[in-house]
Amino acid sequence: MDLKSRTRCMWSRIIVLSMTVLLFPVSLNGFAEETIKEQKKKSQEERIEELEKRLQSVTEEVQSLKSQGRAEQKVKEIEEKLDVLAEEIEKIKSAAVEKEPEYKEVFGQAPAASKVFLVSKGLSIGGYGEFAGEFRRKGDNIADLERAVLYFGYKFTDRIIFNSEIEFEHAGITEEGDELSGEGGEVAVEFANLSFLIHDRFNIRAGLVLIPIGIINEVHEPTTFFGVLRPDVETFIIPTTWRENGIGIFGQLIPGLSYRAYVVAGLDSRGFSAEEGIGGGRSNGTLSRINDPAFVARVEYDKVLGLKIGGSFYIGNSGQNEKVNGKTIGGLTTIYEVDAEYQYRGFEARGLFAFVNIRDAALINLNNGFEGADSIGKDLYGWYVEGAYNVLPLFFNTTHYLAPFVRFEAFDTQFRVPSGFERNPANRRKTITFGLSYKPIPNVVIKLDFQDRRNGNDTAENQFNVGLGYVF
Amino acid sequence: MNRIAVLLSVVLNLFVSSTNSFSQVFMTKDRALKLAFPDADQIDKKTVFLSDEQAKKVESIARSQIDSKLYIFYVGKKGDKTLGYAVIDTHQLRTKTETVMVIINPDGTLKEVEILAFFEPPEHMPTQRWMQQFGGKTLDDSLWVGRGIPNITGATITSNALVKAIRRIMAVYNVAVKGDQ
Repeated sequence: MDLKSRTRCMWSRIIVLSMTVLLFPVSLNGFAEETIKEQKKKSQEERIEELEKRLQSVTEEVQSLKSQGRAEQKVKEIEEKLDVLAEEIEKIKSAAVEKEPEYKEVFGQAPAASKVFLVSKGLSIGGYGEFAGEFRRKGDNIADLERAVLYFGYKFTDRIIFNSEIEFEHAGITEEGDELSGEGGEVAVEFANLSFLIHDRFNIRAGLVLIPIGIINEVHEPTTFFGVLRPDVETFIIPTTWRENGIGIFGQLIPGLSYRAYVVAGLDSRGFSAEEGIGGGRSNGTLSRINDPAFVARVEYDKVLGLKIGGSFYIGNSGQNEKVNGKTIGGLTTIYEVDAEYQYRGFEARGLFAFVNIRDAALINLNNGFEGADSIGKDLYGWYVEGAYNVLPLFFNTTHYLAPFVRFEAFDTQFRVPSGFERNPANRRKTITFGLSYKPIPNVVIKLDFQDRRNGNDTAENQFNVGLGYVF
Repeated sequence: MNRIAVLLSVVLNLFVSSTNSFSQVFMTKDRALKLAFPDADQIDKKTVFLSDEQAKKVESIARSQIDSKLYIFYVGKKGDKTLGYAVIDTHQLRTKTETVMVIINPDGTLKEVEILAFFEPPEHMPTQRWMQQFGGKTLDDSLWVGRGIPNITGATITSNALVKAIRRIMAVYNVAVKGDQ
């Protein structure tokens, strides 16, 4: 290599070097800048990262807040829905008192029928029954399904109502060969009538109606009276269950004062007897002879809480066009009756007095073939008082009911007889009944009692009764 | 002639005047609630869902079984003041039902019980006098038919079912509403 070329080489080296030296700080500067940038970049990233982290946590927080809010919203929504459901359930349960539905056809039915379809069906069913066991020292002991009664009611409209009771007495009738043999049993319609409701004070009832007289005749479910058997007075003086075909009015004149007044088929004196009074004269709605109709009315006052006072009056001929020795029997029969029921806390009391007068008793005797002491009474009377106390609440904290009771009765189906006839002292009777009524629930009663029966002939027999009754 | 006119007007009056208490629905819920709280400017609703435990408690206080754990108490309010609570309850009598409104005073005593609808025959309806006896009664042993409450002859099932319903509602009030206010 020549010097020139060496020198050139050296120069170029120097230049490179010097340039390098010159450039170095620049490049160093640049490096530093880069580093700072790098550093800056890093911290930004970190910050971003940090921010991101923060954002994330905030988002999470927000989200968690959000989700909490949503849950609250949800809970609120659910609560609202529950309220709506609750209301709907109430609507279903108490549909009747919801706003009058808009009348529209439902499945092609007319509006009136639609309402019945939507709200209530007209058929109402109920019933009651009583089993009795009667035990005497002499004579037969008896176990009997005294009555099983089914109640059917049908509401055609709010103002036209059908009511009925169909009674199987002594477990009904049986078929023996071609003959129907009751063996003392019977199937009977106790009542079946239509009520036309017009106004509180004035309504109409027609059909086979219960005669509104005394306490038991209209209200005779076994849970409502004491003793296995109905009171003797409301069997022999006021025959129960007494029902006749007729028509009448009923209602409430002023609050607390109600009335019933019917025109019904009159009694038929052919059925009167010395021992059982007018009971056999009832037609019970079977081909009633209404040659002689009768009028019967009852008022009840119950404005005082726990006290109910009632009075009944019956009047009508009982001859039913019967003739004897060329004379038509009138047989005007009049019944006066008053009664009262009182309840205070566990104490219950009832009392009743009834008096019956029959005109033309001598003619009726003649027509019925009665002589001497077999005469029907021309005057009959009877009364009873009873008291009971539900003792269980005194000793236990219970809803069961156990009431000892006692009832005194006196009655005479031959209190007076027409001249030329005699009284049979055996028809002057007194009964003392005492026992227990136990109701585990108000619809079921178990009864136990002893009856001390006496009559003017000393031929009455005491008896011991057990009974079971239900009503639904 | 004049007499006939008077008689006619009396008869007409009988048929037209006053509502017939024999019709089966006497009052709608809305009207009943308005009558329950005549001074209220607002009627709130409080739905009570009884827990099993609460239901048991209610049954033991009411001394009868409950057939629902759901009760709606309508709360009559005037401003912030509670005027009382009303519950509409429907229960079975024989085969048919009746719907009643039981109104409870803020102090927990009974204010009034009103029959809103009745589907058994009218003979089974309690008298007005009997219905008026509930004001001021509290849920104690005397609130029972045959104790503080006399029975209704001929309407035993109604009187028992109604008093049971009242006891149930009072018990729900005591268990689930009273403490909550």
